Amino acid sequence: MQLPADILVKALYDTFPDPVLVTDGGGIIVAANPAATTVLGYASQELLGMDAAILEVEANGHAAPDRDAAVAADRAGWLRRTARLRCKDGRVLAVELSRTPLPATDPALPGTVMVVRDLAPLSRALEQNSASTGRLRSALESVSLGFAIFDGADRLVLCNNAYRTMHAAFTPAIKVGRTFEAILRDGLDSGQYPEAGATEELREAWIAERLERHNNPGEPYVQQISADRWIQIEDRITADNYRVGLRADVTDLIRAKTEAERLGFILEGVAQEVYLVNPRDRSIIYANKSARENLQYSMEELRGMDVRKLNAEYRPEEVSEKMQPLLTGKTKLMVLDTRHRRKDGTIYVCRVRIEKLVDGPEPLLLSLGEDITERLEIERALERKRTEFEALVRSLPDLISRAEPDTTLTYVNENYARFKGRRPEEMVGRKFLDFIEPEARDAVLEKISGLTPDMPLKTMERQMQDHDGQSYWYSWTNLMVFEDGKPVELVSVGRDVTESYQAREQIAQQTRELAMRNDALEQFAGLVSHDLKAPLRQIRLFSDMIAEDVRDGKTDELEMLSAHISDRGTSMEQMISSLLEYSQLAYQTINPKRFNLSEAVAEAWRNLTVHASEAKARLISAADAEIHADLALMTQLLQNLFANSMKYRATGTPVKIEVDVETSDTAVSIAVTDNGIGIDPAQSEKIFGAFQRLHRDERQYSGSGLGLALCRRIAESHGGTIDLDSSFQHGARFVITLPKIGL
Amino acid sequence: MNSDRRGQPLKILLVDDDPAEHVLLRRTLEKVEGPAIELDYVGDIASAVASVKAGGIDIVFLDNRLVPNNDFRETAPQLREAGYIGPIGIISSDISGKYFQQFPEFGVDFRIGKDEIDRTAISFIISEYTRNQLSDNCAEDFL
Repeated sequence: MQLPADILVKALYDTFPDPVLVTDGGGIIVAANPAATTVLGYASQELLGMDAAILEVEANGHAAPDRDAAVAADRAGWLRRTARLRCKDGRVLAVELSRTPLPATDPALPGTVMVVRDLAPLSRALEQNSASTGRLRSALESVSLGFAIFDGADRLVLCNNAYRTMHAAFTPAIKVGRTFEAILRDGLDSGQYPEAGATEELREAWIAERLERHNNPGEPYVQQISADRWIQIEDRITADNYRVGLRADVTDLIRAKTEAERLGFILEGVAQEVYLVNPRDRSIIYANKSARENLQYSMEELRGMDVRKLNAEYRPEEVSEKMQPLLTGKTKLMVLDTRHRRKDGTIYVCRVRIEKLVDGPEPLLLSLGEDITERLEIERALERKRTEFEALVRSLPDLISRAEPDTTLTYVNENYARFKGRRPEEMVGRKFLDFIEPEARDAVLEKISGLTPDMPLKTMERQMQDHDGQSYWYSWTNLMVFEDGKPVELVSVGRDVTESYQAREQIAQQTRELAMRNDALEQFAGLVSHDLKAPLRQIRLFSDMIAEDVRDGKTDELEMLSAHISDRGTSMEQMISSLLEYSQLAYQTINPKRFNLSEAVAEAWRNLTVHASEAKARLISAADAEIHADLALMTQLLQNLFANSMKYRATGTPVKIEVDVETSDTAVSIAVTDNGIGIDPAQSEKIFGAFQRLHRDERQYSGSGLGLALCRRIAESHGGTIDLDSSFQHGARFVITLPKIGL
Repeated sequence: MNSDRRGQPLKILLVDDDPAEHVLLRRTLEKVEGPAIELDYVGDIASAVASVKAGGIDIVFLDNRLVPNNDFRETAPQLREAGYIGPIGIISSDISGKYFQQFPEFGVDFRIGKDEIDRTAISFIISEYTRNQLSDNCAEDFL
């Protein structure tokens, strides 16, 4: 059945849930449906005739802001806008007005139909939606995961604080509405992604890769966002083309993983063999590369193998028994030297250090093994070397000691102990200064304290006495061993250098004597030159004078001049004879023998018989003593002294010469005393020089000046001395001292 | 210096323990031209000291080796200590010893080998060391 249109319209009009107001061309309400009276609170009669504009609450001074209304192009005059209507009870309703023009009977005043839709239910729905969104946001903020949503245009819709925190370097760039790429580029500029590279090209490639992963997400991946922070990135695309990004901070995980990997690498790489064993069934859980290579098994072959089967020295039960204290907790650590069998059957010696680890979820046996085959060989070789060294040290004639830096002896070789009349163990533990002569201790300590890391070795020679009191010279080489700049040990080696020391001393003495002889020779040469040149020059000059006088017819001085020539000639003759005598005796090799000194005295006196008679000289000799010397030289010495006594006699007094001898444990002293004119004590040394005379007047005291020089030369050639006793005042007294050797 | 004594001969003192040297020097001086020269002779340093103390000595020829002394280093200072301020020359048969180079330190004015002594050398020494005037340098200072 088809209802007439007017009936249908009327039914709709009456039952329409929203208020419908019909106005005339002047805006006056001419009709209102029941919903209008219900919603607005006015009676139908009150609405009819009411200006519709009265119902509307002015907003911003415009009662009917039609210009803000939506219009429809295909419906002329239709518009829809929001408005606020005041109900009869004063309430203001937010409404949506839809106004449709009616065909007017009076074209100048066209009527309208206004449908009023109450927006309050919609607002309540929106409020409810807003509350849900807030709760969602709170929930997102409370999770530790970073969370972000990008819309279909890849613009950020929302993200939580954790997401921002994970990108702390460029948080300000993370704003709603910005695209993922724009945020990513800001992050790159902030330096958060050092992995992106330094060049523009590398950075663009990195961004392209990241966008590819973002737009075509796959498995989660880890990205380092700073030197010590990593995040796991997981992107998803929703059915309605939203991109959801999740970020999880996996720093701790990465660190733990890194450390575990590092530990694994270390275990795998160490030279020692490392085993992890299940203590319950002794099965191998893990063996490192060193263990696998030495045993020649793969990890697969070793895994689960009874560790006792590797032992070639003991049966499995014996191994269990040995490990029992460790398994029962009696001990935490065991060290065993045992033998491991390789896959090919060969065997090697292994030192195993086993520890029970109980702190983990499951107890474990950690076994660290070391192939000590080479070490044992080295130890055996070292032991052989040590034995050889000990034998060498024992056989060395040197004195050898080792001591702590405070000089406490830790080792003394047998020779050193024997030198001191002790056994080595009696000396070890004592300070070696105890075995050094007290007068030498300061010097030794000074030497040792002067040893430094830069100069750890010094050598010194010192005199030592053995246990019998016999003196030796030893060259001691002290070496201080330093570790990290601190002294740890003093090694001392003493070598007997007595012979070489004595030889050096003898050479030094000879060198000194040679220097003295050279000086004397130089002086001698100077004197010879002077004393020979002088008479020659005089002879020449006197000869010239004679010739000159003869030429001038002068004769009064001829005799005097010729006498001078004769005198000078005699003087030179005597000097040359003395030189010959000196050179024959002074450097003569002595031929010592034992004889009685009285023999030499008598012979010397006999040689001077004529002179003695002339000088009326008398000899009083008490020379009955055995000496060890050259008889001829000693005779010459005494003869020279006697001749001097006769030559330098006091005028008018008979010469008296006395010879006395005294012997001691070490020397023989011979004194020759006269009653002559004596010698000035100030000249006591000079008189022994070659060509030294104290008296120029040869008419009274003739001589070459070599007599006493010869006496000294003879005394010294016997290792003795001759001196003038300057305390003697009644003439001259010479004392000859000879060492008492060969007697 | 005594050579300013008008009309008096220049007096040289020879100190040498060899009398023959006296004869030789005397004969050499006889040939020297110029002012009259008088030669005194003593044989030891003690006599020389006495002589210079007595005064009148214009120049001293001192033998290097006067026994028992070693050399001029022991004798020349004795003359200076005696107050003698005139020139002292060391004469010796051999002046090659290094110590001769030290002669100014011991109050000696010159040294000469005995074989170098002739009338020319004597004339030069006399003119150099006995001029009756201040030294050139001093004279210039007072001009």
